Amino acid sequence: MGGYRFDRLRLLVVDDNAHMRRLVATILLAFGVDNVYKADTADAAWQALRDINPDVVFLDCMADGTSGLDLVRLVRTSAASPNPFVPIIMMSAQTRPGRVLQARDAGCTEFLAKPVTVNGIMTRLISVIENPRPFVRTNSYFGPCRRRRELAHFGVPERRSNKANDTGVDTDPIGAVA
Amino acid sequence: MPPNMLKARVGGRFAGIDMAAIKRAETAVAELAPEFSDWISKDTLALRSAYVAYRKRPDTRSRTHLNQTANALRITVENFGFPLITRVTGSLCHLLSYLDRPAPPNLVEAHVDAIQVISNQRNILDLSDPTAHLLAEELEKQVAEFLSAFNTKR
Repeated sequence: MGGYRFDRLRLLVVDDNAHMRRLVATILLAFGVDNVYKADTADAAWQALRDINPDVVFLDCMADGTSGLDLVRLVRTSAASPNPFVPIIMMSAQTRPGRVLQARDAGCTEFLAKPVTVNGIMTRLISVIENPRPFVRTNSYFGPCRRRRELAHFGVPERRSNKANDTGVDTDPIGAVA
Repeated sequence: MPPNMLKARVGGRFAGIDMAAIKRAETAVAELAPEFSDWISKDTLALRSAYVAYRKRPDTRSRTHLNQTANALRITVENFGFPLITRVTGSLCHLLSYLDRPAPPNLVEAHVDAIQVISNQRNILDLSDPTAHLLAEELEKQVAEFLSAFNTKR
């Protein structure tokens, strides 16, 4: 597999839809991942996170009727979280920009629109491996840096220059990657 | 930048996407196909049940459940290549997603009935059937008219 040993990974798939769990797990197993764990509720996912400490989590945003976003926040910020830095790939059929921003602001590492595809899952998996994002902490956020790339400022003054301005904007990474 | 532990775990060398792995996964998904019909039948029954609960008590909770059930079905059929049910379910999701008040039960029921009929009639699972096409078109038109009237009143 292009040099990768996916068989060394432990992945967790969280989705309240049994068909989707089966589909995503089937694709990951076909990629060569030997250890694919599944959870159908936020509670089961939390327990699995503690038990198996997965390397990557594929999470549906509506798992268990509880917002998957709440689970992401819990993973990122709870003192009981086994790994606040674990890469989380949010899978959702809700692809409106507001929804994607919510996922980003909760601390998701990647966003994968449903219906999922083989290529989509592969590229997100490679992305979290190849392009780990530094973690940042602000007053209102802890998670992967939300600036996906260095964009031009388009003439807008850089907000970081204003020390009195604490708006939750991601500033200097704290080092860990996910 | 600290060391990339995840990359180290998978061997640390990326030599492009492994097309053989992609092919294996596509084959594995195709092998699930015989089970799709059962999955759709189960999801359709769940949708009917969610609709009955919504009609009995049309509150935010029942509507949210109905919306989630419809989305689950839409995702299933969209993933596994049933464009006609995808289209009708998409129309239902459109009706349920963009409103801050209960959707008209008759219009919801028309969608649920259509989805059940399509699910039962295996020979009209795609968009090539002219009657099915007309049905989908009419449902979309009804939803568009309802949403337009609702937006005008706001």
